[in-house]
Amino acid sequence: MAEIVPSLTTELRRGTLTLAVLSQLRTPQYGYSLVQRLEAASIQMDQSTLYPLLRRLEKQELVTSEWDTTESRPRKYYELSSYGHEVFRQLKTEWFRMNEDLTTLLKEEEDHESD
Amino acid sequence: MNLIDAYVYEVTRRLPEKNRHDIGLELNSIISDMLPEHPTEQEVKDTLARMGDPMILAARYADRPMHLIGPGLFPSYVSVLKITMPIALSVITISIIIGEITAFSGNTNVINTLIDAILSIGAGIFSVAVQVLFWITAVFFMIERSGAVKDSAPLSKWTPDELKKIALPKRTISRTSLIGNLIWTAVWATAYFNASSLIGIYINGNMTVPIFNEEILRLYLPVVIIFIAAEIAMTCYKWAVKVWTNRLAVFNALYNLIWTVTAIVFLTNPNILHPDLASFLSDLFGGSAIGATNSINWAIWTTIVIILISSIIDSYEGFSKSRKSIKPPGTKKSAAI
Repeated sequence: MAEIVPSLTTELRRGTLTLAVLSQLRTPQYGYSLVQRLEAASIQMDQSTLYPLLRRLEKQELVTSEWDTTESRPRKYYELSSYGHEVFRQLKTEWFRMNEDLTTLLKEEEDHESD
Repeated sequence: MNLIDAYVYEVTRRLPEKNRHDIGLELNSIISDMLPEHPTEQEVKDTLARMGDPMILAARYADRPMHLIGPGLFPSYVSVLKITMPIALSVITISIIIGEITAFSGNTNVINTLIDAILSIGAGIFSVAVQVLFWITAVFFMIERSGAVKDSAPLSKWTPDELKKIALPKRTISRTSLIGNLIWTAVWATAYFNASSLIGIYINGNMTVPIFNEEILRLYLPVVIIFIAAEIAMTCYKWAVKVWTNRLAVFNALYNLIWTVTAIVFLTNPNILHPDLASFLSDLFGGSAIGATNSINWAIWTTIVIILISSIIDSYEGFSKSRKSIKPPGTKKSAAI
């Protein structure tokens, strides 16, 4: 039973990663700074998932990217596009609604159990 | 630095040409960001370990499926295989059997021919199965890569109307038995056409006396051709309707009746046997003509009885299966309440 919990948790988390990444891109971020921000918020995400995800978001025109060569080391910065802003806003609303519904559901079940 | 270059190369060489340069630069920059100023080899290794398997990273960048045929296509793949495989295998089996029988002349050894036939059927089935599997898989692989199928959505949208086409198991006509029918038709038809060189009494693997009188066989030829056509048509019809219906059962019984009557008329024809057979048999029975006649009669009547019984069983099966009505599960329960 113990082995199934991590895999189900990963499955639960998977859908939320896009939302987490989008939320951090209101200001331009480069790959590793994004990793650090997510880690600081204790959001676990494989790097091998994150970087390809960024490119996919760019392909979907939710984010734009730009190489910054002014510093000693060139870095690629990602930022939400205006379309990305709109999509993020809607996704966030969805998330809050879902979260609320599920919390209600789980609370009810808990109360029921303690009766 | 060598390890990092190798890592980046391992990722980018798996990517489409146009993305290689950009992703390579980005990975280099990310990895450098993760490392301290003057990293030791161990620190480089740890960082690369955090990046993970380059093959997985490349696959995620490429956004290509990591499977041959995904869950969306798999059901269609399996059902196409299930339809195609039995048809292909029975066609190859039938054609090899026909080929072997027509190539057979009374002069060659029967046992050798039989072993030869079994071996070539085995080889034929194997190579056709591999070919069918390969080509169908290849086509589905291409559909999968073409991006026509999204995630887990099957090829066509399901509607409840499709349930009308589903035959519930009890009334279904087994495909295997239909293939068996076709093989049987092919075997007896080829045997009939080549009876004079094929059906006879064999001594030491060589045919000595043919059993049937060629003239009578030729006389019945038009009837036999009609029967072959009818049998094939019947099998195709059963294959198409899939379930036993009352009408099909009546058809089936009628066909069996006509076939049995014809077979009995044919077998009881006094001139049916080859003229040489009687004398050969009486020689065999030590000159007793009565013994020879008795054994011939015995063989003919046994054949008639076998034909009769198998026709009755087959007709009965059709009726009993067509009677089994479709009852959805739970009907009994609700009736009891």
